[in-house]
Amino acid sequence: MSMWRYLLGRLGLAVVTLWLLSVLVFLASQVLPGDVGSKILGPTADKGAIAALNTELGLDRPALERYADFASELLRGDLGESYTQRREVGPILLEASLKSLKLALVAFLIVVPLAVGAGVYAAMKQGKPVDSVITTVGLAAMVVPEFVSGILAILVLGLWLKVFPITATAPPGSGAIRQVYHLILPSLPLVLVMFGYIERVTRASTIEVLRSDYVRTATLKGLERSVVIRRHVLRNALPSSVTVVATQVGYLFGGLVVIEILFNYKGVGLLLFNATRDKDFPLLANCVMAVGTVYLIFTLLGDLIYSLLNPRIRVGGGQ
Amino acid sequence: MRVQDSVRDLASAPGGDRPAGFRNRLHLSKLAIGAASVLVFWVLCALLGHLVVPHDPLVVDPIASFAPPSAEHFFGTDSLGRDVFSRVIVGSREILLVAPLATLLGVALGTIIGLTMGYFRGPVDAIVGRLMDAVISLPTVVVALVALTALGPSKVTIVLIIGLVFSPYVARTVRTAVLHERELEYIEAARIRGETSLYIMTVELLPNVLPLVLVEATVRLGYAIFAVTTLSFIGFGIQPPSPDWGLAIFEGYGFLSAGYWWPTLFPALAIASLVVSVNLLADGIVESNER
Repeated sequence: MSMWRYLLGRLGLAVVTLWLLSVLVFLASQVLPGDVGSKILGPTADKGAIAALNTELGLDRPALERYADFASELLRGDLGESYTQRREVGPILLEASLKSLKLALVAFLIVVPLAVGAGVYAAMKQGKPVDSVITTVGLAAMVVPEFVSGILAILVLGLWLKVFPITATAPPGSGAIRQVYHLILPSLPLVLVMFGYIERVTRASTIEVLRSDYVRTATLKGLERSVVIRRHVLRNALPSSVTVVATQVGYLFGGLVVIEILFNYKGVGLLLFNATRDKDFPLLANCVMAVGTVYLIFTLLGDLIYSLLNPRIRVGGGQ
Repeated sequence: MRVQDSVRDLASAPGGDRPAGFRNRLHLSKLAIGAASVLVFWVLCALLGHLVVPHDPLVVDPIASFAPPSAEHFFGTDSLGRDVFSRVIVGSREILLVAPLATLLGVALGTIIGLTMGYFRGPVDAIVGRLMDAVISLPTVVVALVALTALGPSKVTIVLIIGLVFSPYVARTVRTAVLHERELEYIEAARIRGETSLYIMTVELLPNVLPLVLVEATVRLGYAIFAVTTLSFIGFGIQPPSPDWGLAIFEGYGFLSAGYWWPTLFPALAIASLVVSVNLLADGIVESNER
């Protein structure tokens, strides 16, 4: 009961945050300089035609009225039409999202087992050289910008050793395995950035659990090490990892923009980048809203899983 | 006046329930000291590099474009025939100017917001808190991209935007510390003395959260370098003809598959060495502070 109240509270906050986000997105795009009409028609276009296009796109109306339209359309799921592509934003966004999702999925499938494993291992070897090596490598990997590790990956693994193809998109008609193979190089920088976060949190929570009385009891009553790890340590340490994995989904988008530009991969990141470049307001606003929504959903999901895995919140006894 | 001073002295006497500050001198690990020396190297390059480089980093020589590394050009030349070695050395200058300034702005602003939220709590805290959540729910690069399209990329706008985007993160940390501090006796004493809110926030609270703010600043500096180089790489950061590293990679990465790796690899390694050293140093400072 109390868990649901807790989650409802979080949901309410997320809705408020989303509304504020829509206001911020709208304000930011209001101050976009330059004339959208002349941007689409080109600098040599006729002044009258530009004014007519601006009127057609509704850009001459008061800002508050336009925000009201923007918000109500957003609520109805009508995302409007892209200025530059002259197509509905919905399908464009969906198509790009699926591509980004594929890339993100490959990255997560690689990083989660790797980072959780490394974190638990480092915690068990706490204070030993292996621990400090894993933790230092994790920190270094986490802070190098994605485009730098991407460049290094392209050079070393793609061009010199020729282990992976440097094009993110497999030739048309390729099977699933071939597609994943093409996505490994682009996902590598994302893996590196996320590895450090997930490894650190897993290590910290595992160390905390290893110090607890119930793990000592379990060890002293003669349970095998592997059973103690599986039954007592992992179950109690993983909720924190799950939460950090969920928040990483949101931050992943920052990396996606850069990686998709670097590999010319037509996902949401590249779409957003092109929309800012072309001042395509409906496309831009919806991309940003989509990124924010995904982040909030995954944060909520993280809270949900955390509270399901954490008995103190599940039964509502804890503070 | 004297009574008030002695009350304050009593409250700030050591051994009370003060926060963990830089209690002793900084104790850095060998790793952190190594990182600090790499950072010092790049700072020296930024300050004095232009005096020692073998070539003018901005001089274009189309005939010598894409010359591979040699004794004349240690790191080769780029697409415009500019000396990559000289550009890498001098290229540390703008990132080491823009990133610290952005950090400074973000930390100053965040500290003010955090002090205000934590001290007043209530509606101020709730409203500002939600606004900050909205900003935090977007990746820095995305916010900066949108804002820079609106304002146009320049060093000033980059500093402003990164500073603004970072302030919520700093504010969150400061707010948490202030929420704890404001319940302590020395704050109560100040209130009983009849001090104004402004006085309590600046003279009483600020010095006590300052160690935390400094730690946060070192961590933020790492993120600022990450963000600024990334923006330069996507063409929304430092503008040509600057020898900035992110920009150099932006200009050079298209030629990678043609086999011209040197104009891109060396700036990439420079960025990696700078961000890793700044973050290892920050990590060392955090650890030393927690000890």
